[in-house]
Amino acid sequence: MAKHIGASAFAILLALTGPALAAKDTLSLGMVLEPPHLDPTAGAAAAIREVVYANIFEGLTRIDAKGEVQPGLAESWTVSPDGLTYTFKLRANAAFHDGTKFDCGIVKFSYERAVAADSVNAQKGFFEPIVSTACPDPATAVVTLKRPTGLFLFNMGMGDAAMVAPNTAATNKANPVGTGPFVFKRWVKGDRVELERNASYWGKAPALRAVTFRFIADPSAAAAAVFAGDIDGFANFPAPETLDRLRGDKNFAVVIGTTEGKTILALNNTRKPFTDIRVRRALAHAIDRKMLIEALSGYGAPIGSHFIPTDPGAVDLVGVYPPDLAKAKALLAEAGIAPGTEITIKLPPPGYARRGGEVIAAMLEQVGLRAKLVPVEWAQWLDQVFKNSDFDATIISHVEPHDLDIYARDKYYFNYNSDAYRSLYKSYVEATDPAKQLDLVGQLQRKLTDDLPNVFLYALPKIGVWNAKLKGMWTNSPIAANDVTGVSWAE
Amino acid sequence: MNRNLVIGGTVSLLVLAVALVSLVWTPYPPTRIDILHKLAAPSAQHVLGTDPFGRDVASMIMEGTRNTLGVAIVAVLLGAGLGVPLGALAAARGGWFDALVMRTADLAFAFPALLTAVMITAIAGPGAVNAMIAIGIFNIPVFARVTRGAALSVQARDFVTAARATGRSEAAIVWLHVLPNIAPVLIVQVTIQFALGIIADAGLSYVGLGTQPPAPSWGRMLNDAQTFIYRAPLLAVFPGLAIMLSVLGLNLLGDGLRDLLDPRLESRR
Amino acid sequence: MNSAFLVRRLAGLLATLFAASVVVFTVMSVLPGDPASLMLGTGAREDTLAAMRHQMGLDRPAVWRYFGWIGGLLVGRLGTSYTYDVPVAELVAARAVVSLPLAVLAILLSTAIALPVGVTAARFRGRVADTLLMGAAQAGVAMPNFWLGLLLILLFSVGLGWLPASGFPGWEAGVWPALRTLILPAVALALPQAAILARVTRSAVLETLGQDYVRTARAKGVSERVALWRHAVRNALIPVVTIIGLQFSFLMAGTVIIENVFTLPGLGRLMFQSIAQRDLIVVQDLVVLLAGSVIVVNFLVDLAYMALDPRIAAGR
Repeated sequence: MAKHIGASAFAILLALTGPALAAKDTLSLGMVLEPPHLDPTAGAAAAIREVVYANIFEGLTRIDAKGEVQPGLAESWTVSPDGLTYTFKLRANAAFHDGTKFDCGIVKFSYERAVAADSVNAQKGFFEPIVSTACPDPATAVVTLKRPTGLFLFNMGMGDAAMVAPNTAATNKANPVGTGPFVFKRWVKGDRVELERNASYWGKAPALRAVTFRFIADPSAAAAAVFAGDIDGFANFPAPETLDRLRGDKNFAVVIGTTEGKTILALNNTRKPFTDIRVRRALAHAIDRKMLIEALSGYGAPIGSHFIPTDPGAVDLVGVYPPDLAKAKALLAEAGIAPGTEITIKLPPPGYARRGGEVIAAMLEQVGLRAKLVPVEWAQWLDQVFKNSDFDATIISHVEPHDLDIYARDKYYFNYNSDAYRSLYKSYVEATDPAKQLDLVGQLQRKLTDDLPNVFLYALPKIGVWNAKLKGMWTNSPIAANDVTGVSWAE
Repeated sequence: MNRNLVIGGTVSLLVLAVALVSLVWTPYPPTRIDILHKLAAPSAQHVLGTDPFGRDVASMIMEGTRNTLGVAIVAVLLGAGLGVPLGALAAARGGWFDALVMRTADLAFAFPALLTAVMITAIAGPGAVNAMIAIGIFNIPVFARVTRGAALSVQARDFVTAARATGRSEAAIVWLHVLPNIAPVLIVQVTIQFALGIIADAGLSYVGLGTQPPAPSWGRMLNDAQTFIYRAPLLAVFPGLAIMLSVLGLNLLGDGLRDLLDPRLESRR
Repeated sequence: MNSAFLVRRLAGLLATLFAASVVVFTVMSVLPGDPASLMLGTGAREDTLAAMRHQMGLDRPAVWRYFGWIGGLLVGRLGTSYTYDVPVAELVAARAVVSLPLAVLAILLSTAIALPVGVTAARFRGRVADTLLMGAAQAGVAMPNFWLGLLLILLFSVGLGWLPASGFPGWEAGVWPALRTLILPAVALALPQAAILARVTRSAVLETLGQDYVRTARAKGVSERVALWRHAVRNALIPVVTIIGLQFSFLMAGTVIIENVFTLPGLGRLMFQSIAQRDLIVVQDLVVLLAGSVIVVNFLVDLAYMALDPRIAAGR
């Protein structure tokens, strides 16, 4: 705190003695995880996107702060009535940071690279519907699809569909070269990535001259860095327990937003005792979601189905399984589960899982279930739980937007096999009338709540903490990104 | 009676007593979560306060004592159980067996202990049992070396040579003559490794690889405390004091035993 | 000096290093978890994973990979990190500039504290000063360094606000800003080491004080002070230096927890993180490098022993 006083005294001194300082034009933003590399077309890590999305790399479309599709490197487009042909009009003056010109050839290269046999694109599926990309002239790209794909424009705005140039595509991991308003400057491994303003950007120049992403995994270190003013803020602040202190401080803005993270206690529906719906419902009654949220951060909304409460079409199903220990015990007894029965919960590294697991174990103990907590690294989680379904229960946040389809898949790690759900989902995908779509989204949520393949816990909050003078930061997190192109400092 | 022995013995017995009492009684169930009373300061209800989940810190430390002692004891048993016979045999046999045992010990010493423990737990999954193994493995070469060194000096003495002349088997000589004579050295080493085991277990738990929740452990309590260091600084103090007290007690006990059992070393002090 | 012994010892050490490389390679190979799926996440398709594995060279047989790796090491090529896609040497160098200065700082600090304390305690053996200093040393030995780190943070960062609680700005931020962040971790590492070293120093000095040449020097009328410093301490230095050498190799590898406490981007954290991310090459290289440095230090310690007492060589 002494530091703050010193700094403000210094500022006053300057104000009295000289002309006003120029407005600040640099930003230092904290991130919890360091990206493994910086190529969004060759890895799934959210941290990659949190550095490069919209800042360094751009796609034909872009996703805005509300999760809506906006023009990117394509200034406009038309879609044929059958929904199979997309004609993009491309920006005429866009170029890569190394001077390579952006034109339709780049689009063709980027999309064909993503579906090539040796492609390492984490979302190769996005490009699978593409039949061909044609270039009638350098400023026009015509993409033809196999079948109508409702989310195509949205998907082409994701980082995985970023435009990359043939001469730099192979080296983007360590030295990303895109078309965005910021140029990669350097990466001090284990500490930070630095970006600089792109002087020859095709669009509106950003207000910031330089941007630094600092990687601070430890919550207490993150809090200390914010308090000390070492960094200007965190888009996703990892230390919610210090928010009380920050809220009282006029220098900081604390902004609670939403994410697409549906945090669930996922259950292996083919493994006893979770084959029995009474057991699954007993778990739902045993877990007090409000208390769980309170114990973790105090932020986030309880969910009653696999759906974010603020998304269009959400149905409030939180009250279907209220906390009720007596009922939970009765259901367990009915299902023939003896008190003291042990279940194993595998916990991946994030705090919502590791700390949440401790809370849930204590809650389950009250209804006579012994939860054995097994912490796993991501590598093990992907291998054991996700790939091989070798688990009883796990705590995980599904952060992908619009992912009701995972319950309709033939083989997905929690093994929910419901033909009724699948046919319901099929009619939802085929529905064209928006009202009917919304109705079906509601039915899908209800079906999930009723069958309860997993215990739905809460929607992961986005806790933003930054300098109160910072403008233009995203409140919500519709996709993984730290789009700072619109960020500026108040005078 | 020397001072070290009295103080060290008392403290160690006290720590042991706490561990034993926690088997039958703690002020609260150490895993009971009470979110509404989280991060309470020390008071009459909670003598050491409560943690971020509202659990009673005193109860957690009590049960943590038991868990830590368990890990350290098993690790010492593992190390001594394998290391002592290996070292004694190496000294008795000599030759290639001796060379093999000592080179393997070198290999074990060459690995950074903590990082190896990290690898072991990465393969086998974190947990108390794997912490015991990871710590115990590094106790084996320690005991082997100490035993071998002490045994070599004993073997040169007259009574062993005499026993050998009577045609006794090598194993019988080791068992009847060598081991009893090097017992003081080994007992002292046990207290040292025990103390080191407690610190190692706390370290592993601190980085999340030791005893797993919901079972409380000192190291993890310290890790949790770091997150709340601005709001509840005392949380970072109590578990550390518990570690320090236990280790201090054992070290003093070791020093005291050394003075008592091995008078030749007394002159150095 | 016995050169046959030296050659034998060196051969043994090389064999140890080789065994270490086989052990770590085997361990990393059986480690559950696929680096490719870790990189590509839950949306990845099977053919994409196969392409990634090919790119990482994981589709080659294990023996092939082992010799490719070890052959590279022999000519000084550490290979390329799976996750960062940069030369491992670059990663290690970037982390070593944190770990190495931290270890050096800790060693200097611990020696600077331990020598005067140990010598003073020896000089006033059995008196109040001795009891107090050795009591403090007992307490220091019993303190886990990461807890000491937490207490230092509590006092100097949370309480007084003098020094940062964590992070490392990099040397390009200036020597002082970088050094400032290393002070608390260095103290946390140094104090328990100093406690051990002080005890060793004390008993080593006491031992030499009892030896004939010191007695002779005293008898010849050399002052107590000179007898202590010129004769006793100088001769006690060899075991002390040995311990310092061992502590240095401990510090190079053993700082991982302290790096976690202060979130410093050092070698220990790199190792930790590489295991979690299944960056197998980096883990293998680090283990061999660290094991190699421990082995080299052990060898130097052997040499020191031999110089001190040639009988040891014969006795082995």
